[in-house]
Amino acid sequence: MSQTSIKSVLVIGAGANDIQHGDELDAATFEIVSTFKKLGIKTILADNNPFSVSLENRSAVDHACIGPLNVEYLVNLIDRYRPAAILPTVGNQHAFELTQELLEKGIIQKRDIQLLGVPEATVRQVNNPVLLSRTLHKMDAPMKTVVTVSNYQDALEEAQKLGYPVIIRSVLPKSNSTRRIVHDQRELASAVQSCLSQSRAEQVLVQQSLAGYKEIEVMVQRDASGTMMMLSMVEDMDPIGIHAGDSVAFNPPQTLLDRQIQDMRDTAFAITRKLRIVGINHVQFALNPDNDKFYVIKNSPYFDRMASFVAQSTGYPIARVSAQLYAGQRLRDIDLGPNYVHHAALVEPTMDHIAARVPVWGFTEIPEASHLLGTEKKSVGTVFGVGRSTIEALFKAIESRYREPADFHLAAQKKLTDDELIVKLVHPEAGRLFVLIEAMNRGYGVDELAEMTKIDPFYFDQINKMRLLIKEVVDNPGKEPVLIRAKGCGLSNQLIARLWKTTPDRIYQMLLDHQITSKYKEIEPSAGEFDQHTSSFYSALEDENEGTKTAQPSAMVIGTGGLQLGLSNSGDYFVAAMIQQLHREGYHTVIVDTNPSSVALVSELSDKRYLEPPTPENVFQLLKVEQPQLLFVPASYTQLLDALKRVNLECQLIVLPDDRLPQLDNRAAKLVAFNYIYDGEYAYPLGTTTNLLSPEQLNYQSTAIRYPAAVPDYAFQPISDQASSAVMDQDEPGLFQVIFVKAGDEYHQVGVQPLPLTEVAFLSKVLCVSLPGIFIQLVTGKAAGETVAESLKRANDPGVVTYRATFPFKALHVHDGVPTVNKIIGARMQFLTLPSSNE
Amino acid sequence: MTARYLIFEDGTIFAGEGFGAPAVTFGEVVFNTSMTGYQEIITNQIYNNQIVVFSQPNIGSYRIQHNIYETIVPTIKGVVVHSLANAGATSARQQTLDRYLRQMNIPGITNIDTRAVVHKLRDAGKPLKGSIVPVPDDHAFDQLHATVLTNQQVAQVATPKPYPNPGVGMSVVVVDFGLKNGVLRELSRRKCNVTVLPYTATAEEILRLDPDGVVLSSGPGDPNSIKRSVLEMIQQIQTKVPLFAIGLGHELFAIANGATVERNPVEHHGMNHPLKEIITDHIVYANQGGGYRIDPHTVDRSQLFITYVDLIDDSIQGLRHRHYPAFSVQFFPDGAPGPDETDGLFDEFLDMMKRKEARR
Repeated sequence: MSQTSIKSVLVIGAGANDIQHGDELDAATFEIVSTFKKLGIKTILADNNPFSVSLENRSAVDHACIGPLNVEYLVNLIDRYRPAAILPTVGNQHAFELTQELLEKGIIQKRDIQLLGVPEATVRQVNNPVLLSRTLHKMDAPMKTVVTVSNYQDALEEAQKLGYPVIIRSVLPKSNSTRRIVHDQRELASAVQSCLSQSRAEQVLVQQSLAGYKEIEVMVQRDASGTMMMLSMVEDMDPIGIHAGDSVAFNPPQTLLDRQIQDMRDTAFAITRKLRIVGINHVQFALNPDNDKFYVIKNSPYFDRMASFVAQSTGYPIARVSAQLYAGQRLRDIDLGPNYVHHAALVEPTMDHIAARVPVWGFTEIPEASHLLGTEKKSVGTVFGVGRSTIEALFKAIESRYREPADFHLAAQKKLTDDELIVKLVHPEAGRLFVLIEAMNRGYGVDELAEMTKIDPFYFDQINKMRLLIKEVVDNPGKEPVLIRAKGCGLSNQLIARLWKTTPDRIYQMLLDHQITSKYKEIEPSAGEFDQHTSSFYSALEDENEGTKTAQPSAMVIGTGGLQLGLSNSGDYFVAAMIQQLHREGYHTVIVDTNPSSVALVSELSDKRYLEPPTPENVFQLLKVEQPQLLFVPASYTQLLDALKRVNLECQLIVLPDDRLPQLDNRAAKLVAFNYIYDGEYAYPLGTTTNLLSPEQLNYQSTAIRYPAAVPDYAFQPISDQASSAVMDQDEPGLFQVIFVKAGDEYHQVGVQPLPLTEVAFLSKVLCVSLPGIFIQLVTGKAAGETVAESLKRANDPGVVTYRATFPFKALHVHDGVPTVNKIIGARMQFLTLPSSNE
Repeated sequence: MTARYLIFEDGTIFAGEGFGAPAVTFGEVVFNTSMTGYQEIITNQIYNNQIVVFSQPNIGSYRIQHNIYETIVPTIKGVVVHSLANAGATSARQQTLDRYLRQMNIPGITNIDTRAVVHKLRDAGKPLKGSIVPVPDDHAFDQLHATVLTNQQVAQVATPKPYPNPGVGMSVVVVDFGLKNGVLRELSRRKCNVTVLPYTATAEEILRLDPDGVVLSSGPGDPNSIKRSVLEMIQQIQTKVPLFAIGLGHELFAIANGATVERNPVEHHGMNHPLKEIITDHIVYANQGGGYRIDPHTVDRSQLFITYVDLIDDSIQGLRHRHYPAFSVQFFPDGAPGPDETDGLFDEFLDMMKRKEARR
């Protein structure tokens, strides 16, 4: 890679995960800072997310700065490190707001700091929808029509021009809830009247409704010289009216005509050019399938879940290329290395497989949240399936979502009355796909359902095929041709076993008997035209196999899957940090995961990736292909672990402690935890933590932690001794914590548990040591507890550090939500007394 | 669905299921990596004599549309897909891919490991002959080996008789070598008064219509098999009126000006290669489909200069004459399917005609 003129970049991190973003920003940051490093650019990364992998990417990040994501802190960092440039595109919308504040304070101008990715004017437009829509109007980009009127007659005229439904809103509303959807003249009259009375300006907006149109997302890319290319177009199955993040989404689009695709491509290019974006731009459209008309609904020139989905499903290394574009390189100068064809960065990705992305919900943990889908996002994570057909991709995606509550399964829908079913069809809820299948089971026709749901008939054809296939399987127990067809469509052994009322093991045996084995296909962005390799694979029941055994010794790691409440992305953090250590110990690493946002799937972290649901059958087959020495499985994959325990494994099985122990939660008392590394002989202390008092509820909560705990001297030694001996009673080496409850002046031991992954991530950052790395050293027998203890002793005193979990209550409109460890969506950490160096 | 097989001259057999017409056909097997526009691809006459393998696995997910045919009677020899998504099948009124191919007497085959076929074609390094058959027996292979594919493809697909496509603007003669409707669409959009002439038209016959410009259309097959009189026609026309040549037309334009054209070891059909416009240094994308390329060493730089190159295979993608208002592109500037980024070439052609007229 060629050198660049930029010497250093301040990267604004994303902060705590929330409903809007998960680990995709950490993954993008990881790749971007690594690429900057190779280009000789120093990076200063500001973030306060304890689960961040990038903050611990010490080989790439020069200054990992943990601090509050506010302007004061950024100014502080700018004064201290004098960055030549600032990057706002991996920190969500918040990073743009911070950048604008820095611009308004004149800091960026005064220090002559370069903005990467977006010019100043575009930062303002991203932050202000009114400015953006003015620009889009000026360039004749198609936007929904909004007209301001001051009386009913004009409103009627405009509504008739637009066609119903229309949306009526107050101008300068006196209260908040003044948005009304109006379907006819009668409704219009009352809506206009009430909105007029609510308006301080005595005016209302008559706005075209886009509800029911197709939602299309386009990812384009531009370099500083103006070269533009389209990376992908993604079609959401659910229409406008359901948040794109909650919809089932397909890459490539399944129902679009070429002329529709090209017109949206042209518009996305025009906007990207106008806003002078360098790097990626995500443009969302509403498309009226009846007349091909489309409307720009959102423009996001930053990394988000779409970027990671596109990168994982096409094999195009988006973040790596973006980093080079930020550094001022042109697309034509980018060399993706020996595994890609010359000029591969300039080849628009084309796919010979289909990727389906489905949302992951948090309703098991927060049952009181409404399951109704609407324009606000409700899902907390995402998983995807890759297959050779729409159905196969969809079946695999569903299989990847194994932690779903039972009422998301097909059987639960049978209990619905016809009326309930209709309500669910018209007012869609999470888990909608199964309702649609049930509706088809009850005889609803494709056109009827398409009309009711505004979902393209194509998807009902697919759902119908799924349904008929399931029926065919049910009606033909034990028949080989049916089994082949079912496997070709991505049905899992579990599902077939359920339908045949037998065990998955029997199905597995049957597949072996008939020599039906899946092959592996590589996900590379030229659809086979070039001899390119990404080391990302998916399975398919096909002729040609492209999968080969990874070089030995190897370790296979089952990723923690879609982001779940409780763990947030600390599971992903653990896996990513762990494979770095495995790599250092000379293992070749193989990841099995289906969360497109996962940091563990970053290509430079592992040697090979399988985008496959971690079902027993898939894992057994992969073990056969890969023959690893080590196999890592998260403890929450109970089905898989049970299956693995029934066979004689030729590799060492290591269980990742990703399941939390809730019995130590929900105890509104002062708790003190003594944390340890246990190498099988000695327990090496990692310091203490304690829970904090909630300022609102005035009770202790295990979701806010302080390091270290303030334990009085008289008590410290006795309970410390008690704790270390409790740890030394454990059967296996590992990371442990011993918990004490404080009652008066007494401390009583409550229990010993594996250090929760959330706290592993937190303590790693507090102590500047990779605890997942130590975990690997322990299980591979290379641990030297003493060296760890030595390095801990040598490390600077971190002072007092706090950890506060965040919860999705507000986003899910849950009032009086009780914060508990199983509901955590993200977290923030802070060094209260600044250590002399926290890098 | 019934069993059907895609067989290759080297003895390889791919088993699948049949759709479309139950016809047995022979042709060169090529792959197309486009992700959009299956209908436009199937109806492009460049695929006369060819069996097309779609790398995008899901083909037919929207029904056949009445207004996006690239020709009325397609002559593609077969359609190979991984998953036939036969949208529209629930309604008898709607045209599905399966029904359409049956009506057009074109066989299709589905449930094929198309990625494996693409790899085979890519690695072969030469065009491979194949056949879609109901039984892959010795007889089928004998027939495949015995079949000599015609090199008279243009004669099969070009119009035998002139026809007009009237408009109120500039008069354009389109010489039809296997015309793609996209060209007519683009000229219609620009109000051109078009007359389509058979590819056998002489310069005199063309000039008798007093056109403001002439388009040489795309078409199938080997430009070297086109008779000498066509080259003479081009040599005369380019000196008289503005000329715009596309695809096969571009190859003929190059040959008429002294270049030689050779076969690509692997045909490229897709829309994702970066193409560099040399004069502006811009990179654009366009629908590409072709088996031939101009040997750059044979381009007479005193007569022609290169306007576009494909950055992946360095092939010449556009030429312009130094002395006459004549230019050509290897790709399809009319898209259909594919990006619109090069449709400005039609405007350039119009400007050229207007300038010529102003000088008259």
